[in-house]
Amino acid sequence: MVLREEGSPSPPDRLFKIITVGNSSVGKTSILKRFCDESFRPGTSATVGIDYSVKTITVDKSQMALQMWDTAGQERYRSITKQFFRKADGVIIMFDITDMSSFTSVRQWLTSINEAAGDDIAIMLLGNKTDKEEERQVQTNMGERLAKDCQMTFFECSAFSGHNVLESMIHMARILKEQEDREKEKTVTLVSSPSGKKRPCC
Amino acid sequence: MTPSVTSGTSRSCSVNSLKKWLSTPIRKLSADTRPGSQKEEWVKQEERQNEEEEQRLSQRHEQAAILSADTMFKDLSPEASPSQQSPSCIRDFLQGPDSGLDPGPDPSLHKLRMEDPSNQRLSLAETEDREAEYDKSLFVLTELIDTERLYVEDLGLIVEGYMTAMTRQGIPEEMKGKDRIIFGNIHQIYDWHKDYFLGELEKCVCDPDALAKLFIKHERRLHMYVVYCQNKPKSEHIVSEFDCFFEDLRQQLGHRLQLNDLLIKPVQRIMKYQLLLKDFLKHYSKAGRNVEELQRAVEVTCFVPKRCNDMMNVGRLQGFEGKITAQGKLLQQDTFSVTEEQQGLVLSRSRERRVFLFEQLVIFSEAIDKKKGLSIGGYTFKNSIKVGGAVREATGYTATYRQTISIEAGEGEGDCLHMRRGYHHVIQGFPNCVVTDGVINFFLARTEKVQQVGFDPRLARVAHLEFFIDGLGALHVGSCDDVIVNHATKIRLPWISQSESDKTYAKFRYPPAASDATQTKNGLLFFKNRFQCLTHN
Repeated sequence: MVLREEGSPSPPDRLFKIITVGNSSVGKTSILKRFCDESFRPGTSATVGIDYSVKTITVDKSQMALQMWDTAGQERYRSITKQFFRKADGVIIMFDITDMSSFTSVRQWLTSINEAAGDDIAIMLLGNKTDKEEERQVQTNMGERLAKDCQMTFFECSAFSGHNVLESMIHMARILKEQEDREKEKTVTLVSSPSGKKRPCC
Repeated sequence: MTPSVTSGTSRSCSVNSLKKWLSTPIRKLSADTRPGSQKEEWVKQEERQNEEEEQRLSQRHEQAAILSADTMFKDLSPEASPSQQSPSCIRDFLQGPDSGLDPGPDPSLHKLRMEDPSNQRLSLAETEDREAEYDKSLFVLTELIDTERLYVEDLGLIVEGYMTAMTRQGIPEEMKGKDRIIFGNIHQIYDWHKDYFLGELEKCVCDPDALAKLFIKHERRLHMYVVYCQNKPKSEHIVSEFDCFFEDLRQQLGHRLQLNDLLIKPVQRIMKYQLLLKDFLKHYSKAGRNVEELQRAVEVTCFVPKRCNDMMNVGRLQGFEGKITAQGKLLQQDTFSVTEEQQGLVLSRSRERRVFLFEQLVIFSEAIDKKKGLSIGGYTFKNSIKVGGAVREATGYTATYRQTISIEAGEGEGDCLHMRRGYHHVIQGFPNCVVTDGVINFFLARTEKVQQVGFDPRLARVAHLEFFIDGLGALHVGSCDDVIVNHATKIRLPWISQSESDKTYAKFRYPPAASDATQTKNGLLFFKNRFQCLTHN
């Protein structure tokens, strides 16, 4: 199924583009389904489906549309994936707390992002599958330490139970909003831009 | 078959099912060794059982068919062709060859199935599992078709939307000449998917076996994506130059997505096929179907995006004087820390290099710091090494393994064996060939010379080095890097599951260190040659 609805009555004030990356089967598609669709579907139907989906949320009285891009299936093709970072406002690097190798790969993902994206891109580290606590291989403090080293925000969540999914996304949205607010302060706007447009154009 | 065999829409499906049914190995008549009289009795018995089971199954299956039809097609858009939605067609393909259903209108066929003892080997539970897996595989197929339809729509937004509008309204003066780069060969991609591929995929609903063939058959055609990807970085650069023009056009066309988001669609799509096909393969295989061709199709769908990925980077390599297309296929590429070394001495600190391994050349290059120049990014050529090989793995990797072997006399405890990568000298008149002490995997020698060395029977399977040690001084080995022999790979491709024979081979060829085979080998080697140590690089 392909999600294309933007279910908000009034048009959002801003649109942000967010890319999710991470090794195969860390739960990229599942997180997006949980966040945008408020559902979790194990097995077949969660395979591909979406290129992107949009979720509108209200953060600090401001309506924001988050355009979430899925990179499932693209894990092995790094040069291609780099393309996506260039136009993104934020990246979510995901790993699976029950799979150490997915955590080890986080640094490689960071390298890819830094090579392709601008300095101002917001990066969040997200450890998925907290519902499988008994299989945990990556301790919370390891994630925290890496996030601190590389200046990322860090959350642990579960697409299965929904734990922390919305909270982490709201946090991401807030970072993006504040970042844009700071940018706006620096910019002298000559023509008032229509609402819903991200950057003043022409 | 159901009576629908004569109705127009389902005919091709039914014939296909029948063909499959007949050609599936599990249905082949196996020689019956039982005495004649018993056999007759057995057949009668089985007929009775079968009739009962068949009744039960067909009742259950009737329900399953209706249910699946609902769930499977509820997401299909209204434009779905009528043949897809024909219930008889659905029923046909739901009746996989193993479902034990209607044997068809031909009575002799009926008899054939009844005599098939292999039919009994599947318990009802197994049959049910298989059917469930088969349904799942069809679910994946439906998703493939659904998303293909949306993909064609998205491409249409570019071709019928942007391209048409730009032809009609004209483009800014400064864009002229660049517009071709913006769209690359997307028109070609659009036409092919719209006019051919989507239709062919839809046909697969009735004949899922055709899916694998479809991808294999069009491997060459799919290379249009490699062309597209190679052009994509340039395209993106130009689109960003004309941000405002395209933004106006987007609003005029009433699109939700920006042009860049649409232009990335082919890049995303070509990477999705492998996911879908792997998933389809998984269920199809559990359904007990023949998946040999599907595995090949999965390889195709992995290989095309890999080439896209590779060529995207090669396109960014600057400063290489030679002809990049004359270096053979690009086999692998990655970023490595590279140090220069001579006789064990490190000559330089490690540097990060992008390494491209072509069939005939290894290129070392440095990533261009994007902060210095344009943000397109790329690689500057630094150095290269010519490669040649005696062995080519299934992965395409070619390499020579030549070793010089020397023995250093020791005291009472025994000698030391040293192995070094390298050779003694080039053979005169054969510039590609050298004399060395040992090679791996493949060599040519005079029969009497090999016989003179002999093979130790206790080292039947693991004895490369041991043979050359035995022959040291007596056997001169020639190795030519333009003689290439294909060889099994040690590198496991993640998308290819190991076959039984591969597993057996690995068991004997790579015994664990603690196993008898390895211990015998090492014990023998050290004992026979009076060694106390072994070094190699």
